[in-house]
Amino acid sequence: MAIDRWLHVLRMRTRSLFARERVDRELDDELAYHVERLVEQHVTSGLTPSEAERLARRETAGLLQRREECRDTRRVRLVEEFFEDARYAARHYASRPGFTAIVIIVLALAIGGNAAIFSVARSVLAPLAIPHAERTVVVWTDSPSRNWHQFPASMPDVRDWQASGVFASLGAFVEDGFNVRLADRTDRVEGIRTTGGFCDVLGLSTSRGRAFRTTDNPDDHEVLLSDHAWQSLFARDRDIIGRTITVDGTLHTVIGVLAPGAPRLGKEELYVLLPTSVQASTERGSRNLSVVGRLRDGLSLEAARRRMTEVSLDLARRYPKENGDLTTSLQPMQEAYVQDAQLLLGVLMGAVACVLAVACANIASLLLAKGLTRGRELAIRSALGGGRWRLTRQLLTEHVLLAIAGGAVSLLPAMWGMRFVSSFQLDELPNAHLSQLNGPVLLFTFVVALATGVLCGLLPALLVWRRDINATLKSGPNVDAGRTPHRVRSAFVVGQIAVTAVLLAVGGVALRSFLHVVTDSPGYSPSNVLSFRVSLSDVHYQTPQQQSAFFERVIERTQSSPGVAAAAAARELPTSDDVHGSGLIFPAQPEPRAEDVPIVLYTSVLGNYFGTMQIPIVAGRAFERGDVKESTPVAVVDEWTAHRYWPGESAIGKRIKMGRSQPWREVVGIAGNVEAPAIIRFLKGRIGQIYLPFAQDPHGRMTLVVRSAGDPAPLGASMRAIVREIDPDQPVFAVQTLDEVRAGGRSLVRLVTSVLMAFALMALLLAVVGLYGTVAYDVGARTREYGLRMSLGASRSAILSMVFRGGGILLFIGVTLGFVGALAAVQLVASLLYGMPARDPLTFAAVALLLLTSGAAAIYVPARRATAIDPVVALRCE
Amino acid sequence: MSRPADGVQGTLDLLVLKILALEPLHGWAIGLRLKQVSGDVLQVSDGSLYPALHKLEQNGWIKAEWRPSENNRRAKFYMLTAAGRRQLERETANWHRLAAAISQVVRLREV
Repeated sequence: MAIDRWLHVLRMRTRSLFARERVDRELDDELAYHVERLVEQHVTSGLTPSEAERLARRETAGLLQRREECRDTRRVRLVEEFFEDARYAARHYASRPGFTAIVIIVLALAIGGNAAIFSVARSVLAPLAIPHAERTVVVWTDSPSRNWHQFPASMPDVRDWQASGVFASLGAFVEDGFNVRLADRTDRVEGIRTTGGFCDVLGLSTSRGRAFRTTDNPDDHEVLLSDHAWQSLFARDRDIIGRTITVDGTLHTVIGVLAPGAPRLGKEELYVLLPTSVQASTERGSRNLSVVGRLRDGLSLEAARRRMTEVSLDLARRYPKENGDLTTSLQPMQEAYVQDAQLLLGVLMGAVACVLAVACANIASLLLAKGLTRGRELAIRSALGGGRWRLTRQLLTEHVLLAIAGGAVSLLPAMWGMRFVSSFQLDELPNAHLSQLNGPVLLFTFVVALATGVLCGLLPALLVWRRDINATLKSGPNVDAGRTPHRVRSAFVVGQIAVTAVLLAVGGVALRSFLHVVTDSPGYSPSNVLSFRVSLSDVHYQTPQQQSAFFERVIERTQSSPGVAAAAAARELPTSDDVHGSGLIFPAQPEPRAEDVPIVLYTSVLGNYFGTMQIPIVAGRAFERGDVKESTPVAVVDEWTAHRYWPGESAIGKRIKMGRSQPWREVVGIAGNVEAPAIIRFLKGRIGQIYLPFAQDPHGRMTLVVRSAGDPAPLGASMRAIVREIDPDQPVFAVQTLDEVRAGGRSLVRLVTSVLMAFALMALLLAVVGLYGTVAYDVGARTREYGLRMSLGASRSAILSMVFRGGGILLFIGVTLGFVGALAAVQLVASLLYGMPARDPLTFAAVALLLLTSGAAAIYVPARRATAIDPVVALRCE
Repeated sequence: MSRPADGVQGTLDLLVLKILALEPLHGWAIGLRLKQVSGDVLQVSDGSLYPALHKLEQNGWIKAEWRPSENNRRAKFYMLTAAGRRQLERETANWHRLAAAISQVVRLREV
């Protein structure tokens, strides 16, 4: 169609729609002119004006009748009628505010949930702003024989990978925190220690200065700042490049500031190079480096994987002890970035979609019931000449309008939902806080609302016409609506109950898992304990003696401050996600193969750690002041380790070694089991915990634990003061009560639980209302029948059981179908939960009980009404 | 939307376009012109003329303008658009093809 014609047509349609009165007047004028000329013609042919006019009127009667046809040519009839329907619908709903409000609220909650999760998913799954993202990969080390996957690499491995020719550039890094001295204070800043290739792999661009290059020397002590750090720490100092700042006690030169949109892997704000000692390390068995790489140009991911497998096999041959059972895997960066999010988002989306489906079915059957009671109105309109399609369209318009209203209101719950999800600040959902109600989300909401309206409205609108109009007109309003709509409503109810059962089961399993985590004793007493971390700079605290002296002073001063019952320190707490593992070696055994060495967690502790944490010593002794560097190396193992490796005998006095190059230690005590860090729980099987005395395994980074008499939170300030007094350059960070730390570790399961349970309960409410509605409608329609039965001698309990049979069948089928679905669905969320089997029989039993009792309550109300029918009244009411 | 049963409906569009190609006219005049040019062979009722005109206008083949008429009153004058002129050419060609084909068939019968 030529553009000029198209524009013309568009102009015509717009005019027809928006200047309708004028267009109609013009049509009248045009036809009036025609009549006028006809009259003139008759007058000139000799008739009197009045005769001429009469004749002309007669002649043009047909013409005026075809005015409608002229209007039809405007092709805007559909739109015009839509507005007519909309006005009619608005009046219709305005006269039923209660019904309308309930439907809109239900729709708003269901649609809003979908919009919220969609919006979060959009911002979480947004592509990383990395150039060549498709060729950027994470290089993981895997141990197939231990079934451990995706763990870090060692520097010698990284160097061999670099030499393999697979990568155009490769970067190895560890996430770390830094003590940055500012004008008035020393701050703890999250950051990354990396090799020079890192910036090239991620394509980090700078707004000032430059990024790291592979040729940079770690001994030059250079530092790169994020845009945010530049702003928050240095107030956008324009002369920042070349300035020296003190990082971990060492002067560093700022060489660059990253561009504002530069991609981040986590919360890093500051970048320094890994020290020469690490970059030149030859310890192949020490694996703590995350590795990212960009594939060489022209090399496909598949080819790169094949080549890396060859490289790993070669390394395994050359270094059987360290690399004997290890392989590598390449994971596209984008996938690695969102892999945690996908399952979680999938579960949340599934839940909100289920709720929407339940709401849809519920409203559809509600509208269906309403449509049936409006049968007479529709029949009359149809008899008066309203076309079926026309009336169906009108019903559909009513329902779509309702859904659109629900969609508009849903923006409010959508906003709450978004805030709620992002308030958990889950690492699994990066960028969740960036989600907002933007164009795509609004469009999504609109489309979902529209689809909901059509789905909810189409079926009832069509079903209304399955009935004989004449019969409807002749009979009273209470005529039985026929079986089809009833069957459809029953199917809706069964579907709602089934979906609700799935949601309840999945939510219930999540809830159980959550309760499990909350109520299970962690093996220590987390209440009234404050924890904080101090990370000593390597420059000022080079020797173990200096580190030891510092922490001992802190503990000493802490213990003597008011309100403190006990204080101690540990390298890592059981709540930490940083774990230190090592091979556990026993004497008097043939040296095992690398993959057969059991792995245990170990941590060094200082002061009365077991007492402070209230971890019982079940045998032997805790560490003492006498366990110093020069004395016999000792260890305390947990009960699990003692039973696992020395079954049937006492572990006390046994000798162990943490790694081949370490000294032999004597087990002097057995401590109670404590819960493993969350990260370990995701690995298969259990793992032992071993404690070493700080003096024999000193570290510069420790977590201090302070048990108080009352609420530990207020102690934070005095702890900071104590540490500042001892050394103002060593900042205290991560100040949290142990309860808070534990809650933080649970936020994922808390989010899943609260979202699933909220939606499951909403679905339950809807399903119960749906069941009630169907049974109540049925009872209403069969009032006469029940009256007849009762007058013929049926007892009230017989009527009661009849109604219960009808509703009970629906309930039973729904629950059964739901359980089949739930058995499959809980498997999906299983990996988000821990501490229990997904197909938890107790949860399933509880769900069944809940559904059956609330379902029975929903049936009971109309059933009671059925038994209260007065046979005389029921039979007379015709 | 029932279609008028006029036998000439298919060709009515073509006739109107052709008439308007000569000069802009209002509905009454188009009706007169139709009767004049076709003698009384083509019985075009006014009842089908106006819907046809409106359809052509909505389709963008013709456009309308209110102007003083020859008896000095305001009347709705229709005129051909550029698109209408192209449409007229197409329809004329179609008509010729159809007429040729039909006369061919008719001649065959006579032989």
